[in-house]
Amino acid sequence: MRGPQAPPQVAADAPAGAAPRAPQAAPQSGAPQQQQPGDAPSAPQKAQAAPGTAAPAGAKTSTATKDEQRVSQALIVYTGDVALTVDADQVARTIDSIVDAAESVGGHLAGRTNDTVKVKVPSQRFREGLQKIEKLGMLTSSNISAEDVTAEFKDAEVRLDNLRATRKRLEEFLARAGTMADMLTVERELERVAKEMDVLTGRLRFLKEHTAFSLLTVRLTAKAKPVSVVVKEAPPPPPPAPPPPPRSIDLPVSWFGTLGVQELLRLPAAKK
Amino acid sequence: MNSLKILLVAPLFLLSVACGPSARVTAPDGFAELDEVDTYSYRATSAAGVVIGVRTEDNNPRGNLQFWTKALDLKLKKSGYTALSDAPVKVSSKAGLEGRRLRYQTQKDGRNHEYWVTVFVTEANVIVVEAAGDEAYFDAATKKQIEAATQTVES
Repeated sequence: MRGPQAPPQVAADAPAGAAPRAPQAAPQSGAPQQQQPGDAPSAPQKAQAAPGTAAPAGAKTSTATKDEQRVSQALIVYTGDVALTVDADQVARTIDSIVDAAESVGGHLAGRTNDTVKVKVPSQRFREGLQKIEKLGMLTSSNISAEDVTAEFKDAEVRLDNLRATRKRLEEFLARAGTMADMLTVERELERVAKEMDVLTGRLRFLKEHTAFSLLTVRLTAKAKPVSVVVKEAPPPPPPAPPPPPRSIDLPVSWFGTLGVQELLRLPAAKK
Repeated sequence: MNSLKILLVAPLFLLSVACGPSARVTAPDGFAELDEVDTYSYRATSAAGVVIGVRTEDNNPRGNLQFWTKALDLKLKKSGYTALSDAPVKVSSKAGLEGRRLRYQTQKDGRNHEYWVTVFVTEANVIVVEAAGDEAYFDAATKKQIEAATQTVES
Protein backbone atom coordinates (compact mmCIF):
# COMPACT_ATOMS: atom_id res chain seq x y z
CA MET A 1 0.00 0.00 0.00
CA ARG A 2 1.34 3.31 -0.94
CA GLY A 3 1.64 6.08 1.53
CA PRO A 4 0.22 9.49 1.07
CA GLN A 5 0.75 10.56 -2.38
CA ALA A 6 3.58 12.90 -2.56
CA PRO A 7 2.53 16.31 -3.77
CA PRO A 8 3.68 16.94 -7.22
CA GLN A 9 6.66 19.14 -7.63
CA VAL A 10 5.44 21.75 -9.92
CA ALA A 11 7.64 24.24 -11.55
CA ALA A 12 6.34 27.15 -13.38
CA ASP A 13 8.68 26.89 -16.25
CA ALA A 14 8.77 23.10 -16.37
CA PRO A 15 5.51 21.76 -15.16
CA ALA A 16 5.42 18.03 -14.65
CA GLY A 17 2.86 16.01 -16.43
CA ALA A 18 1.94 18.59 -18.98
CA ALA A 19 3.75 20.17 -21.79
CA PRO A 20 3.96 23.96 -21.66
CA ARG A 21 1.23 25.51 -23.55
CA ALA A 22 2.00 27.69 -26.38
CA PRO A 23 1.05 31.24 -25.57
CA GLN A 24 -2.26 32.29 -26.79
CA ALA A 25 -2.51 34.80 -29.45
CA ALA A 26 -2.71 38.25 -28.06
CA PRO A 27 -6.15 39.65 -28.19
CA GLN A 28 -6.73 42.65 -30.31
CA SER A 29 -5.55 45.73 -28.58
CA GLY A 30 -7.67 48.73 -28.28
CA ALA A 31 -10.72 47.30 -26.62
CA PRO A 32 -10.29 47.33 -22.90
CA GLN A 33 -10.27 43.88 -21.48
CA GLN A 34 -11.44 42.75 -18.15
CA GLN A 35 -8.46 40.99 -16.78
CA GLN A 36 -8.58 38.50 -14.01
CA PRO A 37 -5.76 38.40 -11.55
CA GLY A 38 -3.03 36.43 -13.12
CA ASP A 39 -4.30 36.90 -16.59
CA ALA A 40 -1.71 38.22 -18.93
CA PRO A 41 -2.39 41.44 -20.63
CA SER A 42 -2.77 41.09 -24.29
CA ALA A 43 0.15 41.97 -26.41
CA PRO A 44 -0.38 45.26 -28.16
CA GLN A 45 -0.71 44.55 -31.77
CA LYS A 46 -0.27 48.12 -32.84
CA ALA A 47 3.11 48.65 -31.29
CA GLN A 48 4.86 46.13 -33.36
CA ALA A 49 6.39 47.62 -36.40
CA ALA A 50 8.38 50.72 -36.67
CA PRO A 51 6.72 53.85 -35.36
CA GLY A 52 4.38 55.35 -37.75
CA THR A 53 3.62 52.22 -39.62
CA ALA A 54 0.31 50.58 -39.34
CA ALA A 55 0.21 47.25 -37.64
CA PRO A 56 -0.58 44.41 -39.90
CA ALA A 57 -4.01 43.06 -39.55
CA GLY A 58 -4.00 40.09 -37.26
CA ALA A 59 -4.93 36.94 -39.01
CA LYS A 60 -7.09 34.58 -37.13
CA THR A 61 -6.94 31.69 -39.42
CA SER A 62 -5.24 29.29 -37.15
CA THR A 63 -3.20 29.04 -33.99
CA ALA A 64 -0.06 28.28 -35.95
CA THR A 65 -0.58 31.31 -38.10
CA LYS A 66 -1.14 33.42 -35.03
CA ASP A 67 2.06 32.16 -33.49
CA GLU A 68 4.00 32.92 -36.60
CA GLN A 69 2.58 36.40 -36.68
CA ARG A 70 3.37 37.01 -33.09
CA VAL A 71 6.95 35.96 -33.72
CA SER A 72 7.21 38.30 -36.63
CA GLN A 73 5.60 41.19 -34.77
CA ALA A 74 8.25 43.19 -33.01
CA LEU A 75 7.29 44.88 -29.80
CA ILE A 76 9.35 47.98 -29.47
CA VAL A 77 9.37 50.59 -26.75
CA TYR A 78 10.07 54.02 -28.19
CA THR A 79 11.22 56.96 -26.15
CA GLY A 80 11.99 60.37 -27.44
CA ASP A 81 13.80 63.31 -25.92
CA VAL A 82 13.50 66.50 -27.88
CA ALA A 83 14.79 69.98 -27.12
CA LEU A 84 13.16 72.99 -28.66
CA THR A 85 14.07 76.62 -28.44
CA VAL A 86 11.23 79.10 -28.45
CA ASP A 87 10.76 82.74 -27.65
CA ALA A 88 10.91 83.49 -23.97
CA ASP A 89 7.29 84.55 -23.86
CA GLN A 90 6.12 81.52 -25.83
CA VAL A 91 7.23 78.72 -23.52
CA ALA A 92 3.90 78.15 -21.80
CA ARG A 93 2.01 78.50 -25.05
CA THR A 94 4.30 76.03 -26.77
CA ILE A 95 3.78 73.50 -24.02
CA ASP A 96 0.06 73.73 -24.61
CA SER A 97 0.62 73.31 -28.32
CA ILE A 98 2.71 70.19 -27.69
CA VAL A 99 -0.07 68.69 -25.64
CA ASP A 100 -2.52 69.55 -28.39
CA ALA A 101 -0.27 67.92 -30.96
CA ALA A 102 -0.01 64.78 -28.85
CA GLU A 103 -3.76 64.62 -28.38
CA SER A 104 -4.29 65.13 -32.10
CA VAL A 105 -2.58 61.80 -32.73
CA GLY A 106 -4.34 60.03 -29.91
CA GLY A 107 -1.85 60.75 -27.20
CA HIS A 108 -2.11 62.45 -23.87
CA LEU A 109 -0.20 64.51 -21.37
CA ALA A 110 2.07 62.53 -19.07
CA GLY A 111 3.57 65.35 -17.08
CA ARG A 112 4.83 68.85 -17.31
CA THR A 113 6.92 71.41 -15.56
CA ASN A 114 7.58 75.00 -16.41
CA ASP A 115 9.88 74.13 -19.27
CA THR A 116 9.41 70.42 -19.85
CA VAL A 117 6.44 68.46 -21.02
CA LYS A 118 6.05 64.72 -21.30
CA VAL A 119 3.46 63.32 -23.60
CA LYS A 120 2.57 59.81 -24.57
CA VAL A 121 1.65 59.18 -28.15
CA PRO A 122 0.47 55.98 -29.73
CA SER A 123 3.52 54.14 -30.92
CA GLN A 124 2.11 53.59 -34.36
CA ARG A 125 1.75 57.38 -34.69
CA PHE A 126 4.95 58.24 -32.91
CA ARG A 127 6.64 59.65 -35.99
CA GLU A 128 3.62 61.74 -36.90
CA GLY A 129 3.39 63.17 -33.44
CA LEU A 130 7.10 63.82 -33.32
CA GLN A 131 7.01 65.71 -36.58
CA LYS A 132 4.17 67.89 -35.34
CA ILE A 133 5.96 68.70 -32.16
CA GLU A 134 9.25 69.44 -33.80
CA LYS A 135 7.58 72.15 -35.82
CA LEU A 136 6.56 74.06 -32.70
CA GLY A 137 9.99 75.48 -32.09
CA MET A 138 13.55 75.49 -33.22
CA LEU A 139 14.78 71.93 -32.85
CA THR A 140 18.08 71.95 -31.02
CA SER A 141 18.40 68.26 -30.19
CA SER A 142 16.48 65.08 -30.73
CA ASN A 143 17.23 61.72 -29.20
CA ILE A 144 14.99 58.84 -30.15
CA SER A 145 15.61 55.39 -28.73
CA ALA A 146 13.92 52.10 -29.39
CA GLU A 147 14.08 48.91 -27.38
CA ASP A 148 12.87 45.63 -28.76
CA VAL A 149 11.02 43.84 -25.99
CA THR A 150 9.45 41.18 -28.18
CA ALA A 151 11.48 38.35 -26.74
CA GLU A 152 10.86 39.41 -23.19
CA PHE A 153 7.17 39.82 -23.84
CA LYS A 154 6.78 36.44 -25.46
CA ASP A 155 8.85 34.73 -22.81
CA ALA A 156 6.68 36.23 -20.14
CA GLU A 157 3.60 35.16 -21.98
CA VAL A 158 4.82 31.58 -22.26
CA ARG A 159 5.79 31.49 -18.64
CA LEU A 160 2.42 32.89 -17.68
CA ASP A 161 0.62 30.31 -19.77
CA ASN A 162 2.62 27.58 -18.15
CA LEU A 163 1.81 28.94 -14.74
CA ARG A 164 -1.84 28.90 -15.60
CA ALA A 165 -1.56 25.26 -16.57
CA THR A 166 0.31 24.54 -13.40
CA ARG A 167 -2.29 26.31 -11.36
CA LYS A 168 -4.98 24.33 -13.01
CA ARG A 169 -3.28 21.04 -12.23
CA LEU A 170 -2.60 22.10 -8.66
CA GLU A 171 -6.23 22.93 -8.26
CA GLU A 172 -7.02 19.44 -9.49
CA PHE A 173 -4.54 18.01 -7.03
CA LEU A 174 -6.07 20.02 -4.30
CA ALA A 175 -9.48 18.68 -5.10
CA ARG A 176 -8.17 15.17 -4.84
CA ALA A 177 -5.89 15.62 -1.86
CA GLY A 178 -6.48 12.99 0.73
CA THR A 179 -4.63 14.35 3.65
CA MET A 180 -4.28 17.66 5.29
CA ALA A 181 -0.55 17.60 4.65
CA ASP A 182 -1.16 17.14 0.95
CA MET A 183 -3.64 19.95 0.99
CA LEU A 184 -1.19 22.29 2.72
CA THR A 185 1.57 21.38 0.34
CA VAL A 186 -0.61 22.03 -2.67
CA GLU A 187 -1.83 25.28 -1.18
CA ARG A 188 1.74 26.48 -0.77
CA GLU A 189 2.47 25.62 -4.35
CA LEU A 190 -0.64 27.42 -5.50
CA GLU A 191 0.44 30.47 -3.56
CA ARG A 192 3.89 30.41 -5.11
CA VAL A 193 2.44 30.03 -8.56
CA ALA A 194 0.03 32.87 -7.98
CA LYS A 195 2.84 35.18 -6.93
CA GLU A 196 4.84 34.35 -10.01
CA MET A 197 1.80 34.93 -12.17
CA ASP A 198 1.26 38.32 -10.57
CA VAL A 199 4.82 39.33 -11.30
CA LEU A 200 4.59 38.23 -14.89
CA THR A 201 1.22 39.87 -15.31
CA GLY A 202 2.58 43.16 -14.07
CA ARG A 203 5.56 42.95 -16.37
CA LEU A 204 3.39 42.13 -19.35
CA ARG A 205 1.10 45.01 -18.54
CA PHE A 206 4.10 47.32 -18.31
CA LEU A 207 5.45 46.16 -21.64
CA LYS A 208 2.06 46.46 -23.22
CA GLU A 209 1.61 49.99 -22.09
CA HIS A 210 5.06 51.03 -23.18
CA THR A 211 4.76 49.46 -26.55
CA ALA A 212 1.31 50.88 -27.11
CA PHE A 213 2.31 54.41 -26.17
CA SER A 214 5.66 55.99 -26.55
CA LEU A 215 6.94 58.58 -24.15
CA LEU A 216 8.09 61.79 -25.67
CA THR A 217 9.83 64.32 -23.48
CA VAL A 218 10.12 67.82 -24.83
CA ARG A 219 12.40 70.27 -23.14
CA LEU A 220 11.90 73.91 -23.99
CA THR A 221 14.57 76.52 -23.86
CA ALA A 222 13.76 80.19 -23.97
CA LYS A 223 15.46 81.93 -26.80
CA ALA A 224 17.92 84.42 -25.51
CA LYS A 225 16.68 87.90 -26.09
CA PRO A 226 18.84 89.79 -28.45
CA VAL A 227 21.04 91.98 -26.48
CA SER A 228 21.24 95.40 -27.86
CA VAL A 229 24.84 96.13 -27.82
CA VAL A 230 25.45 99.74 -27.49
CA VAL A 231 28.72 100.37 -29.05
CA LYS A 232 29.98 103.34 -27.36
CA GLU A 233 31.81 105.47 -29.72
CA ALA A 234 35.19 106.41 -28.64
CA PRO A 235 35.00 109.66 -26.83
CA PRO A 236 35.95 112.48 -29.04
CA PRO A 237 39.50 113.43 -28.62
CA PRO A 238 39.92 116.29 -26.29
CA PRO A 239 39.99 119.56 -28.04
CA PRO A 240 43.44 120.61 -28.79
CA ALA A 241 44.91 122.68 -26.13
CA PRO A 242 44.56 126.31 -26.91
CA PRO A 243 47.70 127.69 -28.27
CA PRO A 244 49.74 129.51 -25.76
CA PRO A 245 49.21 133.20 -25.74
CA PRO A 246 51.35 134.99 -28.18
CA ARG A 247 54.64 135.78 -26.70
CA SER A 248 55.28 139.42 -26.95
CA ILE A 249 57.89 141.28 -25.18
CA ASP A 250 56.94 143.98 -22.80
CA LEU A 251 58.19 147.04 -24.48
CA PRO A 252 60.01 149.47 -22.23
CA VAL A 253 57.20 151.96 -22.59
CA SER A 254 56.17 153.32 -19.25
CA TRP A 255 52.93 154.87 -20.41
CA PHE A 256 51.61 151.47 -21.49
CA GLY A 257 50.92 150.89 -17.82
CA THR A 258 48.31 153.63 -17.76
CA LEU A 259 46.75 152.70 -21.05
CA GLY A 260 43.14 151.66 -20.98
CA VAL A 261 39.70 152.30 -19.65
CA GLN A 262 40.56 152.41 -15.97
CA GLU A 263 42.87 155.35 -16.31
CA LEU A 264 40.88 157.12 -18.99
CA LEU A 265 37.63 157.04 -17.06
CA ARG A 266 39.17 157.93 -13.75
CA LEU A 267 37.93 161.43 -13.28
CA PRO A 268 39.83 163.96 -11.20
CA ALA A 269 38.66 164.73 -7.76
CA ALA A 270 36.12 167.47 -7.47
CA LYS A 271 37.57 170.82 -6.75
CA LYS A 272 36.40 172.83 -3.81
CA MET B 1 67.48 194.66 -20.94
CA ASN B 2 67.93 192.28 -23.84
CA SER B 3 70.06 190.06 -21.71
CA LEU B 4 67.34 189.99 -19.14
CA LYS B 5 64.79 188.93 -21.73
CA ILE B 6 67.02 186.15 -22.91
CA LEU B 7 67.47 184.91 -19.39
CA LEU B 8 63.73 184.78 -18.89
CA VAL B 9 62.73 183.27 -22.24
CA ALA B 10 65.48 180.67 -22.58
CA PRO B 11 64.31 178.39 -19.73
CA LEU B 12 60.80 178.45 -21.06
CA PHE B 13 62.03 177.49 -24.51
CA LEU B 14 64.15 174.68 -23.15
CA LEU B 15 61.25 173.42 -21.08
CA SER B 16 58.99 173.38 -24.04
CA VAL B 17 61.50 171.49 -26.11
CA ALA B 18 62.09 168.92 -23.38
CA CYS B 19 58.42 168.24 -22.81
CA GLY B 20 57.55 168.24 -26.49
CA PRO B 21 54.36 169.46 -28.00
CA SER B 22 51.12 168.49 -26.27
CA ALA B 23 48.55 167.22 -28.72
CA ARG B 24 44.91 167.95 -28.27
CA VAL B 25 41.63 167.64 -30.06
CA THR B 26 38.64 169.82 -30.38
CA ALA B 27 36.16 168.70 -27.81
CA PRO B 28 32.92 167.39 -29.27
CA ASP B 29 29.72 169.14 -28.54
CA GLY B 30 28.40 168.19 -25.16
CA PHE B 31 31.82 167.32 -23.82
CA ALA B 32 33.52 169.21 -21.03
CA GLU B 33 37.26 169.57 -20.96
CA LEU B 34 39.04 168.31 -17.92
CA ASP B 35 41.96 170.27 -16.70
CA GLU B 36 43.73 167.33 -15.13
CA VAL B 37 46.58 166.65 -17.52
CA ASP B 38 48.99 164.38 -15.65
CA THR B 39 48.56 161.47 -17.98
CA TYR B 40 46.77 163.11 -20.85
CA SER B 41 47.61 166.15 -22.78
CA TYR B 42 43.94 166.64 -23.27
CA ARG B 43 40.87 165.02 -21.79
CA ALA B 44 37.15 165.72 -22.01
CA THR B 45 34.09 163.92 -20.84
CA SER B 46 30.46 163.80 -21.77
CA ALA B 47 27.78 164.12 -19.20
CA ALA B 48 27.22 160.36 -19.47
CA GLY B 49 30.85 159.58 -18.80
CA VAL B 50 32.13 158.96 -22.28
CA VAL B 51 35.66 160.28 -22.12
CA ILE B 52 38.04 161.22 -24.84
CA GLY B 53 41.67 161.72 -23.96
CA VAL B 54 44.86 162.47 -25.82
CA ARG B 55 48.31 161.28 -24.86
CA THR B 56 51.42 162.73 -26.29
CA GLU B 57 54.33 160.43 -25.68
CA ASP B 58 57.87 160.30 -26.92
CA ASN B 59 58.43 158.13 -29.91
CA ASN B 60 60.77 156.00 -27.90
CA PRO B 61 61.66 153.43 -28.91
CA ARG B 62 61.41 155.07 -32.21
CA GLY B 63 58.88 153.33 -34.34
CA ASN B 64 56.61 154.03 -37.20
CA LEU B 65 52.84 153.88 -37.26
CA GLN B 66 52.80 150.15 -37.95
CA PHE B 67 55.08 149.50 -34.99
CA TRP B 68 53.04 151.45 -32.51
CA THR B 69 49.74 150.17 -33.78
CA LYS B 70 50.92 146.61 -33.31
CA ALA B 71 52.51 147.35 -29.96
CA LEU B 72 49.32 148.91 -28.63
CA ASP B 73 47.19 146.08 -29.96
CA LEU B 74 49.34 143.43 -28.32
CA LYS B 75 49.44 145.33 -25.06
CA LEU B 76 45.70 145.75 -24.88
CA LYS B 77 44.91 142.17 -25.85
CA LYS B 78 47.39 140.98 -23.29
CA SER B 79 45.53 143.07 -20.74
CA GLY B 80 42.27 141.34 -21.58
CA TYR B 81 40.72 143.64 -24.10
CA THR B 82 38.70 142.03 -26.85
CA ALA B 83 39.18 143.42 -30.31
CA LEU B 84 35.99 144.46 -32.07
CA SER B 85 37.56 144.56 -35.47
CA ASP B 86 40.07 142.40 -37.21
CA ALA B 87 42.16 145.18 -38.56
CA PRO B 88 42.85 148.72 -37.53
CA VAL B 89 40.95 151.40 -39.35
CA LYS B 90 42.85 154.01 -41.21
CA VAL B 91 42.26 157.51 -39.91
CA SER B 92 43.46 160.80 -41.26
CA SER B 93 43.55 163.92 -39.24
CA LYS B 94 42.70 167.28 -40.63
CA ALA B 95 46.29 168.28 -39.98
CA GLY B 96 47.49 165.58 -42.32
CA LEU B 97 48.52 162.96 -39.79
CA GLU B 98 47.82 159.37 -40.64
CA GLY B 99 46.63 157.17 -37.90
CA ARG B 100 45.10 153.82 -37.07
CA ARG B 101 42.04 153.18 -34.93
CA LEU B 102 41.64 150.04 -32.87
CA ARG B 103 38.34 149.15 -31.19
CA TYR B 104 37.97 146.93 -28.15
CA GLN B 105 35.47 145.83 -25.60
CA THR B 106 36.20 145.35 -21.95
CA GLN B 107 34.47 145.05 -18.63
CA LYS B 108 34.47 147.71 -15.98
CA ASP B 109 32.41 147.52 -12.84
CA GLY B 110 30.47 144.63 -14.36
CA ARG B 111 29.47 146.63 -17.39
CA ASN B 112 30.59 146.32 -20.97
CA HIS B 113 32.60 149.25 -22.08
CA GLU B 114 33.83 150.16 -25.51
CA TYR B 115 37.32 151.44 -25.85
CA TRP B 116 38.83 153.08 -28.90
CA VAL B 117 42.46 153.82 -29.44
CA THR B 118 43.66 155.89 -32.36
CA VAL B 119 47.38 156.25 -32.76
CA PHE B 120 49.28 158.84 -34.74
CA VAL B 121 53.03 158.85 -35.06
CA THR B 122 55.36 161.69 -35.80
CA GLU B 123 59.10 161.75 -35.79
CA ALA B 124 59.17 162.79 -32.19
CA ASN B 125 55.89 161.73 -30.71
CA VAL B 126 53.31 159.03 -30.44
CA ILE B 127 49.92 160.61 -30.15
CA VAL B 128 47.24 158.36 -28.78
CA VAL B 129 43.63 159.41 -28.82
CA GLU B 130 41.61 157.22 -26.46
CA ALA B 131 37.88 157.16 -26.07
CA ALA B 132 35.84 154.96 -23.78
CA GLY B 133 32.48 154.71 -22.17
CA ASP B 134 29.72 152.42 -21.10
CA GLU B 135 28.25 150.63 -24.12
CA ALA B 136 24.87 152.11 -23.24
CA TYR B 137 26.23 155.60 -23.82
CA PHE B 138 28.77 154.82 -26.45
CA ASP B 139 26.08 155.10 -29.07
CA ALA B 140 26.30 155.83 -32.76
CA ALA B 141 26.00 159.57 -32.32
CA THR B 142 28.72 159.61 -29.71
CA LYS B 143 30.90 157.48 -31.95
CA LYS B 144 30.54 160.01 -34.73
CA GLN B 145 31.48 162.73 -32.35
CA ILE B 146 34.54 160.78 -31.27
CA GLU B 147 35.54 160.13 -34.87
CA ALA B 148 35.14 163.76 -35.72
CA ALA B 149 37.04 164.91 -32.68
CA THR B 150 39.87 162.48 -33.41
CA GLN B 151 40.32 163.98 -36.84
CA THR B 152 40.98 167.28 -35.18
CA VAL B 153 44.07 166.05 -33.47
CA GLU B 154 46.98 168.36 -33.74
CA SER B 155 50.31 168.36 -32.12
